[in-house]
Amino acid sequence: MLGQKPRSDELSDVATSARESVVEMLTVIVGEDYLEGIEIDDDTRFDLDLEIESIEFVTFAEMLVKRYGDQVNFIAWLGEKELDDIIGISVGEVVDFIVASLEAKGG
Amino acid sequence: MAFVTVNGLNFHTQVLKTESDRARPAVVMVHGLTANLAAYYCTIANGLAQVADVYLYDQRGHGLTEMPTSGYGESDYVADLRGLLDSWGLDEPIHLVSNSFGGITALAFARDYPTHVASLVLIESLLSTEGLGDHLARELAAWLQTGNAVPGYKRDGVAVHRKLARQKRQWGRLIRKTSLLSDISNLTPFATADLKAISCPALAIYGSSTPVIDHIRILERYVAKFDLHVIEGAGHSIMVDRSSEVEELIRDRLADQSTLVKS
Repeated sequence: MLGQKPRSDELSDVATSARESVVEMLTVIVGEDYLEGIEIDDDTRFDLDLEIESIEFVTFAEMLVKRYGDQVNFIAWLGEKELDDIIGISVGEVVDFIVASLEAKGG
Repeated sequence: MAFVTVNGLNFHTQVLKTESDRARPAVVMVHGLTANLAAYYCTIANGLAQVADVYLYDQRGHGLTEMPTSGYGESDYVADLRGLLDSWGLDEPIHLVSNSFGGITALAFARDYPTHVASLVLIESLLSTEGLGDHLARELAAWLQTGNAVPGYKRDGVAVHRKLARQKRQWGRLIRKTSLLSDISNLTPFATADLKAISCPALAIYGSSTPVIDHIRILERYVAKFDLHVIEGAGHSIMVDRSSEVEELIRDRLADQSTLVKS
C-alpha cells in the first residue's frame, strides 16, 4: 500500500522481479547468440562482461524508463555518476537502484 | 525508442527532462564523426538534464539513425538540425553544444540561423578550414584499414570484441557504402565573413594539448562574444576524460545566460 514500508519478503520479490526485467532487457539488447554460455547475474558488468556499446546503454536506459516510468528516475541517477561508474556498472547495482527507488515510492 | 522523421530519414533522438516548476533552457547537443548521442548521454547530458531540457540526436549515418547512401555535406547536417528543432517544437533560441566534428554543424547552424541560437558551447570543436575535409577523409580511410584485423563476436566459443566488431561494422559501412568521405573532402572552409556572422555568445572548452589548437585561434579572432576555457592536461577527448569539469562549465554558462536574459 502506498506509503507503507514493504516487508522484507516483499522487497525480495521486488528485487527478483527487477532482476528478471533487467536480464530480459539485456538479452534483447545483446542478443541470445552472444549470451550463449554466459549467465547474467548481479556481478555481470555491462562493459566488461557483456561488451555493451554506449548507444546500447542508451537503449537499455530507455527500456528501463518505459518499464518503470516515474517510479525510477534513471536520468537523475546517471547524472550523479562519473563516466567510469557508468561504464563499469553491474546488473546488481541497477537492481539495487530499482529496488531502492520503488521502496522510496512505496512499492 | 524515440525516432522522428526529418528530411525523409528516421532520426534516433533522446530528450532528457526532469520535473521542474520553472522554465528551463533548451540545450541541443551535436556529436562528432563516428560517434553518436551516447557520447553525451554517458558523460554530461544526464547531469545537465537536472538544470535544462537536453535534446540529443544521432546525426545521419550515425548511431541508430538511418544511413542514407549520400548527403553528408554541411548543408545536410544543418537542414537535419533545423528539422529536428521543428519536430521537437523548439521555437525559443537554443543553447547549442558541439563536440569535435559536431562543430561543423553547430557553427554553420549559428551562422545560418542566428535568431535560433542563444549561445554556442564548442567542446574541442572543429571549424571547417582549408584542407580539413581532405585530412579527415584520409584519417577515416586509414582507420578503416585497421578494422580488417578485428575479430567477430566469438573466438573458440568465447565472446570477444563484440563492441569493437559492431563499431567497425557500422563505421565501415558508413565509410565504404556512402558518400561520407567525398562529402567531407568537399567541405566548404569557413570564411571570415562566416565567423563574423556568428552573433551569439560562444564558450569554447578545449584541452591544453589539443591537436586542433589552430581552430581555437581562428574562432577567438573573429567570433565577437568568445570565451575560451582551457582544461590543463587534457587533449581532444575531454568529453570522456574530464566530463565533470566540462559539465560544470556548461552549467555555469547556462546560469550566466539565464541571469543575462532576466536582466
